[in-house]
Amino acid sequence: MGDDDATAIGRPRFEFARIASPDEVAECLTSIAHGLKRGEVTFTSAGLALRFAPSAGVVVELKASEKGEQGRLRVRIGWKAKKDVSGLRISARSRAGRGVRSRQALILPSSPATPATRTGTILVIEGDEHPRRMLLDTLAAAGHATAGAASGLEGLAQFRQEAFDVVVTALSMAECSGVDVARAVKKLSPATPVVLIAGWGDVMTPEQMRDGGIDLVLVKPFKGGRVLSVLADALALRHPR
Amino acid sequence: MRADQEFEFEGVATPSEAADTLARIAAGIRARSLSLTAGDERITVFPGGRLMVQIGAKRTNAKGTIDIGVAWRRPKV
Repeated sequence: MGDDDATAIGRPRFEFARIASPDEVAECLTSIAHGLKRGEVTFTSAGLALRFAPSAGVVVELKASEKGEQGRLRVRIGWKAKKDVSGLRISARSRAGRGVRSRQALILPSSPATPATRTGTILVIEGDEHPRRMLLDTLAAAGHATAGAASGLEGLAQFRQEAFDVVVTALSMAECSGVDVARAVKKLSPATPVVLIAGWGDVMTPEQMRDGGIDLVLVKPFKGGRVLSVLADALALRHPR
Repeated sequence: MRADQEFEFEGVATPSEAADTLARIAAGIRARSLSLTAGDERITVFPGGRLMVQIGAKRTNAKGTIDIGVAWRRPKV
């Protein structure tokens, strides 16, 4: 991160502002992205290096607008070093013509479970612990019985031993991908709906979904309301009225 | 000039997922056309010309934030 245009205000604060070309801005964002991947982002100012090491769970806030003559984009990545954010529940509301707005609220251990119109037994297969924990917490808070697996092979072993109403699986996993899981689940139990967790930019055509045994897609990053809505749709497929 | 549009999203992610999001935003800015989606909502913005970029980062014992702002002037079409 550049030096001449940056100022460090006290210690650990960094501010930087300048006019730049789109390519220069993209390079800057890519540099921060690489740091996040490595687990540490370093900003330098007047020879002083400020290191930021985000914790396991971060809150990503994204705002974009084009109004009148102005276009704006804001990305805010926040984390709490000593607090696990796995209990964060995300809700969203949209307003016509204004895009989607979302809010977060912390689910406290003593919070009463949100009543769900229909509950079921859900198997969540996700290699990354944080999103898996967040999904399990969100579903359990809504009254579903849940089980988690950290790999496709582990999840399929659980599926062979227990009865589940719905399987939720990540797409990208080592050894056994989400599509492999979906195909195996459909072979063992054709009536069990499979929800695929896809990342931003993962695109599947309806034909690929059908051929892969995937009934529904849940896009990351998760929003609590969307998670419950997709699961309600999946349970409706499992138990049609 | 295109119609006004607005998009807001907030979600929990791993640092690696946040990095992927940032990398995709970088690719969109490099292409001068950035599409953002959340659920059924989707907008496309066109950050071109000279951009004003502001980056702030702060850390306390308990928490930290990285704040990135980009602003541009829309072309009169």
